[in-house]
This record gives sequence, structure tokens and C-alpha cells, in this order.
Amino acid sequence: MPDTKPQQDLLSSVTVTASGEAAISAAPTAEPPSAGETGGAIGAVCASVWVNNKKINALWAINENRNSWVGVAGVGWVKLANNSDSAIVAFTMLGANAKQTQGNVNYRQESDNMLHEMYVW
Amino acid sequence: MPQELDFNQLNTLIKSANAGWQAGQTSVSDLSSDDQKSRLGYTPSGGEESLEQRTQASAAKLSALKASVSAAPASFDWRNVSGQNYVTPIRDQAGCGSCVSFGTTAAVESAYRIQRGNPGLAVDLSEASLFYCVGPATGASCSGGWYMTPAMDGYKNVGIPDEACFPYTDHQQACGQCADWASRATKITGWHTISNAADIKTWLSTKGPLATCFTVYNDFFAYTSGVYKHVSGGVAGGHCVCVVGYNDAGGYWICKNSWGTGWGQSGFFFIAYGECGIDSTMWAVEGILETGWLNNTRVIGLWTIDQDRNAWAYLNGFGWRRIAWDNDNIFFDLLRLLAAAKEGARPVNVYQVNGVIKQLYVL
Repeated sequence: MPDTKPQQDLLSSVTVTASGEAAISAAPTAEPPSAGETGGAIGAVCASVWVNNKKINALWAINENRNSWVGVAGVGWVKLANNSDSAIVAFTMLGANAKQTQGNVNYRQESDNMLHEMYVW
Repeated sequence: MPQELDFNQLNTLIKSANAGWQAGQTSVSDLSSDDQKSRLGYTPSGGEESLEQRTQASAAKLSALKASVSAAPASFDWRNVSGQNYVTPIRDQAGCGSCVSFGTTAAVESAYRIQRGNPGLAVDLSEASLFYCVGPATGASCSGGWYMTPAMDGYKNVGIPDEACFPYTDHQQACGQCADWASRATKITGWHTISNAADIKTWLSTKGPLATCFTVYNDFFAYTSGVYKHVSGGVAGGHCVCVVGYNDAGGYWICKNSWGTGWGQSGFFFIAYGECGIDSTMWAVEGILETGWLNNTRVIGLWTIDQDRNAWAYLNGFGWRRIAWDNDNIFFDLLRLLAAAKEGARPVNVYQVNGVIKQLYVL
């Protein structure tokens, strides 16, 4: 049976600004954003893409293994990568932090439509 | 010894060669030949180029060295970056062939200040620890000198404590560092060599100083100012220093020596591009792994990825630090507290070991 997903609607457009690839034993490379940065152009999520300068406006989780989502303003629901217990909990914590602070979020979405890397400022 | 006459003679030779530097009495110019050689100490080994190979390689790329680099400014000096000095004070290796330890440590200390973005950072690492504790396994000695690869590896794999843990003195001795040296040690994330002329200038102008080594001729001991070029005297030996800048218009590197402030330009010197093997290969410090408390900072960013227990916090003024990943509860406890600190914009005191967050207070 496929994992459940959130049913309540959010906005549906997808904002894509750049592509990137994850590295083994990765480390963050970005510096804090400068004031006044805004999001980029709209495009399809068919490969690895970076979605930048977004706000998290909703969270969703359910009593299923590794099934947690974030609602991204202007985008909609995005599922958090589910390949690891510790990774999905860390993603959920960062998503909650972003929701709480309304800080800027930059994230990498892969062709599986899940969120695989995330900055919260 | 009629030094004054020798200096006059040397200055005449320099002038006739149009070499552009001045000779005079220095802290080492009056020493005996043996004592002068004890101020050096680079003995290439382990696959490093010989002094002759370095000299040939430098001369062969002189035209490339003189060319301006589009990615780098025409001049740069870490002693004056918008009025800020990222170079630690001049040291004195005195009568021990430990230049490798001093050249390497100078590069690491500057890298530390640059990484912190704090030119006033009080960093003084123990050249004695590197030379007398790490060095002997690969042959380091006051009389025989040392080479660069194990020195850089010492910073990467072992770690070097602060100067107070093992103050430097210039005689062969057993390792005498403090009992808690490991908890006071600074490590580097990595190092690599750079040989391409443009890459050297780009690194110098964007990342930090570089360690390098070259052939010292006898006239070098009497250098007081100007842009050094070899004019007179035979080979005294190999020597390592730290390059802290360059100047394309003048065609020279700006270097930090380890012969005290009574030599050269208060301890520094300019040396011409392509001269004496100075720019054949240089050694770059990639980053600093820090150990100790970072107090009263703030968490301004968080990052994670689809890998087990891999999350980082961006600490204001210090940059990214990885969160300890020993086990799940340690990882999540620390991550949650860092997130709470960020949510409340609260100050934190963080204890890091080799750049990894191991403990924190949210205040």
C-alpha cells in the first residue's frame, strides 16, 4: 500500500532556480542569504533542482514509517526524503523550525519529488 | 670580521646587477656559517622536489608568474586587508633547523584568523609540539631539518596545541607538551599543494597565506629591504617560510620569515617571482578544525541532507559546524536545542571538538 500523503490543498506552483547534486558525506556550502533575496523562475521538477527563498507554511505527519511533509508557500506539499530514520527526523525538525521562525528555506528536490537537502535561515 | 666592508661590497654587487634590494647588518648576518645554516632546515624528502628541481621549475614559469591573473587582484597582502592584519607576529626559530614547523604554523595561524573573520584572534600554536613531538617519527631534528608533507599531515592527523602547552626553545629535545595537549589541539581539515602560477595568486588573494620553501644563498642573511634576488654567495641550504601576499607590479612575493624582527623588513621580505625556487610548489591549508568553547554566539542557519545523522548549524561569526552524530539521541538532542536557540534567537555557548558540536548551552 502506498504511503498516505496530506490531503489538504496548498498552492501548487513550483519555483525552481538552479540544479545541484548531493555528495557523499556532504557538508553545507551556502553562506547566509543577503537581505532582499527573492525566489527565481518557475520550472518543472524532472531532475535535481534547487528551490530557493521559500517559507514553510504547513507541516504534516502521520502514524506511518518515515512519512512527513512540509507545506511550501507558493509550491504545495513536499515529502521529506524517507531513506533514513535520522535523516527524516532531522528534516522534520528543520521544517518545524522554518515554520516557527518563518525564515527563508532553500531545498533540493529530486526526481522522486522528495526533499533531499535543506537550508533554513 | 669586517662586515661593514662586506656589506658595501655586496651592495655594490646588488647595484651593478640591478637586483633592487639592500644588504646590511641583521640579526643573523654576523653569525658563523654553521649558525646561519642552523636557521634553515628544509630537507626535501618523501617525493617533494629537490631544491634544484624547485629552482628550475620556478625559473621555467617566470613568464606565467609575471602575467596578471584575471581572477586575482594585481596585489594582495594579508597584513593589510582593508586595514586588518591576519598575519600572526614574527617568530624566531633561532639555532634549530625547524623552519618547516614555523612556515607551516604561520600558514595555519593565519588560516585560523581568516576562517574566524577575526584578525585580532589570539592564536599562537606550538611549533615545538609540531617539531619535537610529531616530527621525530619522520626524521625531524634541529641538525637535520625536516620536510613539508609530515608537517602538514601532523596538523591534519595529530593536531597541535597552543604555544603555552609546549613553548619553543631552540635545542633538540624530547616531546614535552602539556598533559592535556589533545584537548587543546588544533587540526586542519586538509591541505594540498599548488604549483600553477595563477592558482597560487588566486588562493593567496581569496583563501589565505601559503607555506613554501626555497634555496637560501649566503647573501640572503644580510637582506634588509627591497625585492630579493640572488646576487652573491653559495648555497647555504633549504628554508621554508610563509607567503602572505604578492605584488604583480613589483613582481614579488611578500613572505614571513622566522628569524625574528631584527632581520629583513621587521621579519618580512620580498622575493622576486621565479627566484630560488620560491614559487615552484606551495602548500595550502584548507581549513581549521577547532576544539574549545565558542561563547555567546547565535544559530542563524541549519542544514541537513538525506544521509544518516548529518546536520549542521551555522554559528554567527564562525560558520558551519557539524552536529555530533555518535548516536540517534545525541544527534537529535543537540539538533533540537540548536533549533530552539534559533527559534528564540537566544545566545548559545557551544563546545566543539575538531569542529564538531559536542555540547551546548542555550541561554
